[in-house]
Amino acid sequence: MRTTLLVILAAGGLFVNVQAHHAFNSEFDAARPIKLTGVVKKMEWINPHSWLTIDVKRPDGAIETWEIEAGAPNAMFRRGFNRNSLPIGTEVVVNGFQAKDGRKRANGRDISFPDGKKLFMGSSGTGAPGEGPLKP
Amino acid sequence: MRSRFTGLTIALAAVAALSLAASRVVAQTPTQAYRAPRTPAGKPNLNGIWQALNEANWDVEAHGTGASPFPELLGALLAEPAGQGVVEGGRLPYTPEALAKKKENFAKRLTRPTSRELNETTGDPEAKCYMPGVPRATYMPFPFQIVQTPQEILIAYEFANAAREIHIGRKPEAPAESWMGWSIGRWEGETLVVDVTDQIDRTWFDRAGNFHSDALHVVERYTPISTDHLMYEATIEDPRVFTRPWKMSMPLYRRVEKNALFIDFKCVEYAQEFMYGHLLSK
Amino acid sequence: MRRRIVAGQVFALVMAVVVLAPAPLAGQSSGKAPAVNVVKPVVPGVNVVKKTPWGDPDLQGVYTFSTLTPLQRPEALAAKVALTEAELAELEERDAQNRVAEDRPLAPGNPGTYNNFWTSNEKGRRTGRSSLIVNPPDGRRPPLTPQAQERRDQLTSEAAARRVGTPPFDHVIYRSWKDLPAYTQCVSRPMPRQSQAYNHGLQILQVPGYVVIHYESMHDVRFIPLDGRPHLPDNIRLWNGDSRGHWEGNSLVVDWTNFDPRQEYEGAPQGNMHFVERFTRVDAKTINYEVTVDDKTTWTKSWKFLLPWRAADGNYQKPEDLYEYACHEGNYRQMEDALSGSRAVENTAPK
Repeated sequence: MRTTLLVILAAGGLFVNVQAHHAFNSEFDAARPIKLTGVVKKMEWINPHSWLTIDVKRPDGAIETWEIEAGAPNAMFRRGFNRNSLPIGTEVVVNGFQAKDGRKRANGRDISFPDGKKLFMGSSGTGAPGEGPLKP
Repeated sequence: MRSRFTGLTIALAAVAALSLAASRVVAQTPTQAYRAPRTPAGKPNLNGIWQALNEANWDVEAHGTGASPFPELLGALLAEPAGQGVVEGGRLPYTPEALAKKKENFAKRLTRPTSRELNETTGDPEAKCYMPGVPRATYMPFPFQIVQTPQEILIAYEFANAAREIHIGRKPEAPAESWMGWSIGRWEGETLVVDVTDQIDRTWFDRAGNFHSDALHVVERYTPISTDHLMYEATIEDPRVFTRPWKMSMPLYRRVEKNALFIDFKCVEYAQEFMYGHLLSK
Repeated sequence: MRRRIVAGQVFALVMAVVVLAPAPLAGQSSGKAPAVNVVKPVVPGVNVVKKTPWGDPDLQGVYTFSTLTPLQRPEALAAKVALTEAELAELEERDAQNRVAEDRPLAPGNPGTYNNFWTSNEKGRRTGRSSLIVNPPDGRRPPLTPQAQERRDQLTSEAAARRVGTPPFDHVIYRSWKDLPAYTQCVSRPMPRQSQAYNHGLQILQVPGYVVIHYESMHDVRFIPLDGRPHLPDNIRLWNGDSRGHWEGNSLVVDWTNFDPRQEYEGAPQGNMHFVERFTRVDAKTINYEVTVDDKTTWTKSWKFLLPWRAADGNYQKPEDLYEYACHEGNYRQMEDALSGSRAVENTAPK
């Protein structure tokens, strides 16, 4: 009985009060997954979301510039991150979903170094309040 | 033996020298020895609601009257008043390239930002309800309130409900740039001196397109000169834009009406059509 | 031995009973009162209350209001108001495990959202109760009025009408920025602040005549005058309302009105909302923050929650730990993506 109660309460902790600035499903298309390998051109530790700009080399040799949306930086500053934490020229691999209008923007669901070590980790979540029913 | 005549000459020369020196003192430097009431911590009390009363937000340099940007829509409403300027020495000491950029800023000050690149490079940030940075926040035509505690002085500005904290007695480092900068303060007698660094380069000094780079370093001085006036001075240093540091100064006036109250001017809702109107459903 | 009863001691004793005692309900696992409860009572002489140099109770400090305790008690737990020490420890262990489980696969149709890397440090502690709501006794908001329910139904069907495409890969259409919540537009974030994904920090500063609260989120500053002046006239409506404070013993009591009707709080428009806040320092690192919510056009009864503000968090130790949150200044891309994305979807997806 006690365990069931705690499981219920613990589960509530996952979804409760996730009032963040917005959920990514207002911008990004779950039907357009992308995987990009690129080189950091700029890391903007800004509110309400950080943005990582990377240069991606296409198979035909062309360079495409992509903007990757990540989370809010203030919590990161308190953990010791700062404007120098992701240097220009760092190679990264980004898994995410592309913008609904097809422009070269994506959310950085999963960003890692080429050796597989995770930089930012992705997870499932809920929509922001007012944006429709909670997704499972 | 010194004749009376020589003594008189010396006295006259001394008076003349003093007069010359006095006339070289630029108008706004406070010379009164006003001693403000103290806070419990023993510092001059700057608490209160304050506001600048000048035309600096139109143009920090001396300027004549001018039409509003849209006289066919507004008539004389929002036309520009003349101002004697708040810059000591008169003109801003731009490099030639920076002066050209300032003129371009002015010409494009109300360009609607129809792309991110345009939004980041062009247009008066005031029109977008962006936080004004320091020193412009001080002389926006809106009140601000100083909340003075021993280790921390908070200044809240009505415009865009901008806010910043001035850290006293310690020098933590800024993790990144910000719109209102990173402020470290100290007391020098009757004056609060504030060092402001790490400001993002997208704020302007006024509506005339006067601007800075991210190398901007501002040193502010707040000095009480009467129960209801502060003298505000700001020294601006930006070697990427100006050939030398320059200084502005102006009085700040206490809002003395009964029940004077800080009321947010949250203006984002007024900027949205300007910024995003091109993205509406047809 | 005779005991001199002091009125204050009686009051404190009553408060302690009210705050600590679980509601008399069946189903509690033991008959004992909970061993630990982060919600602490004020006991004169035991909680040392500092005063400012001008004699006001000193609430100053840097705090976080993050917590994992939900606002509402889960219905399955109706009988369980408070947790025992052992239950609390086990629950926090589960919370820690949840934070670590990062690689959860996404359900189809979900492009993901804020992940633990950006928020895990701030998810906070449990209060020791099963809900933040302390009144009504079941820990849940009272029922909506018929008009509020009707409004909610209307909004739900209106939002449904703006969905196109085939679930789970369907899209909400934003006709303009007004179809996004005020916070997503970076216009304003609802008050009173409740625990959310991140940026739970704030600072309380005091000067003669004012209590001032500087919230990291949205860099909001609330000025609470203490001089007994009246509220602003009713036609002045503000996103953060209008606050008037006074002291009752060692508690700051704030009357909060004049909200903009376009803002939503707990799913309802704020125009008729009236909050009464009570701030009480219970120890050097804790402020009990209680809010009574009253809006008879929305909820049939007023309700109250209690959310401790804690200074005992490594994230928020000093004023410089509050960083600028320039929301609108950085929001261009998100607004562009949401609106431009809707335009693209409108042009390609027939309903």
